[in-house]
Amino acid sequence: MTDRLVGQVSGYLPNIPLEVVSQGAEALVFKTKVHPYIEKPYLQNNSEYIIKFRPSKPYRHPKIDASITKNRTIGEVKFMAKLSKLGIKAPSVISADYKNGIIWMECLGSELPNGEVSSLKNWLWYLERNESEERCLADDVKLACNKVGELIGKLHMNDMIHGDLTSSNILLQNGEPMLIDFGLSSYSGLPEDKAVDLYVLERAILSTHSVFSDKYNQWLLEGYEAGHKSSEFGKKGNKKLVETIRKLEDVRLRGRKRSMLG
Amino acid sequence: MTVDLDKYAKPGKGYYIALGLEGSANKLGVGVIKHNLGQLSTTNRAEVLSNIRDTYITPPGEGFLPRDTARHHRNWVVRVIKKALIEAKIKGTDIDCICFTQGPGMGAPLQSVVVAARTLAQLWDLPLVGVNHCVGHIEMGREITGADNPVVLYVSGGNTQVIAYSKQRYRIFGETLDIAIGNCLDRFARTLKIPNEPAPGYNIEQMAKKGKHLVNLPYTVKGMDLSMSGILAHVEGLAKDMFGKQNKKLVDVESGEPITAEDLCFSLQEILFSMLVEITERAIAHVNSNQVLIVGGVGSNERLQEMMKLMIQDRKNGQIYATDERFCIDNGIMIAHAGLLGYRTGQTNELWNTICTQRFRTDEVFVKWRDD
Amino acid sequence: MSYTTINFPQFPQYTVFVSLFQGVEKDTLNTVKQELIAGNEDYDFCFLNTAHLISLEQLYSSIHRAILNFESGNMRAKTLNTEIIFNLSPVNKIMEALKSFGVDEKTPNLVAVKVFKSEELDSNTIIQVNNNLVNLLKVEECQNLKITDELLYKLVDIAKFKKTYKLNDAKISDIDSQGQLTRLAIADSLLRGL
Repeated sequence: MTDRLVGQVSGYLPNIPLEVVSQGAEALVFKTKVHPYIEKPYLQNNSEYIIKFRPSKPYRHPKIDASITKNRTIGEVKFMAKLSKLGIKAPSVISADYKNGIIWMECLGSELPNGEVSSLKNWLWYLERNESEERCLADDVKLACNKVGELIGKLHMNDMIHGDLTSSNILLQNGEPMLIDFGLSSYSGLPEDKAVDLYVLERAILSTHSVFSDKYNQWLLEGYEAGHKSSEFGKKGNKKLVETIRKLEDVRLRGRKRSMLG
Repeated sequence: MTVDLDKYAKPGKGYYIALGLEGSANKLGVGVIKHNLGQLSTTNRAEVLSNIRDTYITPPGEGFLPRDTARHHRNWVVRVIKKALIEAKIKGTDIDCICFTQGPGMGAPLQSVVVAARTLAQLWDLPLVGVNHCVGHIEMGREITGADNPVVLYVSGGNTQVIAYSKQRYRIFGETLDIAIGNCLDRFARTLKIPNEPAPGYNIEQMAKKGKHLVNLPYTVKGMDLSMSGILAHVEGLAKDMFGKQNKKLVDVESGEPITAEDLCFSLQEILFSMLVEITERAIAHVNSNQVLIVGGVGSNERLQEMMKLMIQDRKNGQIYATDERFCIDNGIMIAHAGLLGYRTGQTNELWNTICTQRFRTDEVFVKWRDD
Repeated sequence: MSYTTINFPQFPQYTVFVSLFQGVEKDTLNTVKQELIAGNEDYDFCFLNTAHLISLEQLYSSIHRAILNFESGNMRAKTLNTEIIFNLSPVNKIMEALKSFGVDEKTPNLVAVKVFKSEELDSNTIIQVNNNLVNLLKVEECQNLKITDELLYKLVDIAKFKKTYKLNDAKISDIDSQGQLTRLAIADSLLRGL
């Protein structure tokens, strides 16, 4: 990461010690031990906080840049607020500066034995690199995938679209999955949008966890189905499930069949 | 460990020569490449002996139709092959294998070129090697630029993909969910009746350089995928309002100046390329890479290259690789090069197995010549 | 007599004074209201009724944001005092925010907030400021209580609070409901008008 970006964020957050956690594509993620306004907040973890910073992108036209930064930051805060209203676990917002693309939020997840944050991606990669094939396909992996699928199902039943489902945007804490990173989120009841959301995840699993992707994707879908069949949603759940899965097959086919003619 | 690339070398011969034939869209390309024995490296580069191309150009406002494009290829293929052989100073008997584009692409043009490939193979009694067009672009880009494991942005008239290598396949991380970037630009060029000579995308690029007002267009990135048909419909709507019967005048909100066709080209490029750079950056972050290679016809656009460079500068040790129009735009040499890599690891196609396919996913190819 | 001062790590140049008063007379509340409108400098505080204050975190969040907006020139209200009130509100209208969160004769409990430049403040001045408030509000010293989460939770009007923040359909479990309501209120006010 370049000094330009660190300089930018320190300018917006004077006196806040920042430790870089990761440089994603559109955002820098920092950790800090400082809460912006209170020592003991009502949060699960009140010793560390996450600061997510969407730096301005020099490659974009300034107008496009300003509007994307602002809209995504707002979109993300909105989505997190809506999730907590629904009682779905996600990081809580502490403070936000929309113009400068800064969100201060709760720090969730734990550490893997190799020191990395417990995202689904890191965990699966850790297993794949250090353990046997049986371990990579063990019951707890299946259960985690099922739960992730269930969580996405719950999201979709509330007409919420994550927009960027990948294994790195899923955090595991004590075996319970949580979603993060809602910059591309949107709201839609259309089966098409839900199917694309699922397709994006399916492809991400395929490209990131190629060896066991078939199993992982199958377990995710099983969980997704279970999520819809939860008693909470009644008969409506099954109907929506059927629609979305049918659409998913269309979307998959579109991907494979696309010819050069456009 | 590296793959042994010389298991299939002819005894006593210190090099390989391959002829490559490409005709998946409106460019007919023939190239001759030479590899010396041993691993390809900075000291043992592939050698381009010739790289000839002939483009089928249609009048402004018209796209190229499969039937007419195929006719163009049939008419020119013999002459272009001859020219390539003469320039390379080789005879048919010097060649080790004939490589051809097996897909993806337009059916009829692909067919017309594979007929030429089969004929040559039987004439000179040489093996045939079918090549995936996208893999051709990637391998040629890697060879020319020296990028060893880059995230590849493949942008052309028919394809828009973000690709990264993993476990002997070029995996597609992101791609268009509807139309390809080149197709989107070409279609807009047709709407504006911009000439197709030398290329519609090139002409849009030149016009965009003169544009300065940004028109509001939708921005449609979906994860690592993107969608462009909505943007095209939107900008075409604006163009039709401005230049159609309605003759509506649009003005820039801030300056009060009128919006021009150049401004539309500028805005379209800015929004589409922002999306492309963004999904590329997403893939880079996702696989922890720091190299980008741009391939495909649209890859020769200077604004796209500039934006990509600005993006990669903000990443640790970021490197960008791009090739010029000789290798960016469809060509025969990339087919020869990728085909030869396949040949050196034992791939040849029997005659019955040389049928072309319009649909041929990049990740269907087993990349035997890499094992990193 | 009890007041609190806070400093935000981002803004060491400011010190915030917070003091809570219980059982203020209705007449006094009316006077405060009128004097605020008249712009009497003695009343230059941000006065909040406690019916909509669930926790310190919620209150501090809005003060923090007000200072942030003040510093970056993004204030919507004319004064920092009003900006603090406005930032508590989930509704994008300043008048409505004042009505819900400002002085209200139906709520006898008041929180007074004022942002000082740190360099202009020493302990004597603060005591003076607090004493003046005790006089203005015509309360006994014993009615000036230390502001804590426990006290705020006792003084909050949950029904009103939920109505203002439109939280009647939110899923709130019994454990840590003060925390959950705090989180929801902060998020709602962060999204005011968006």
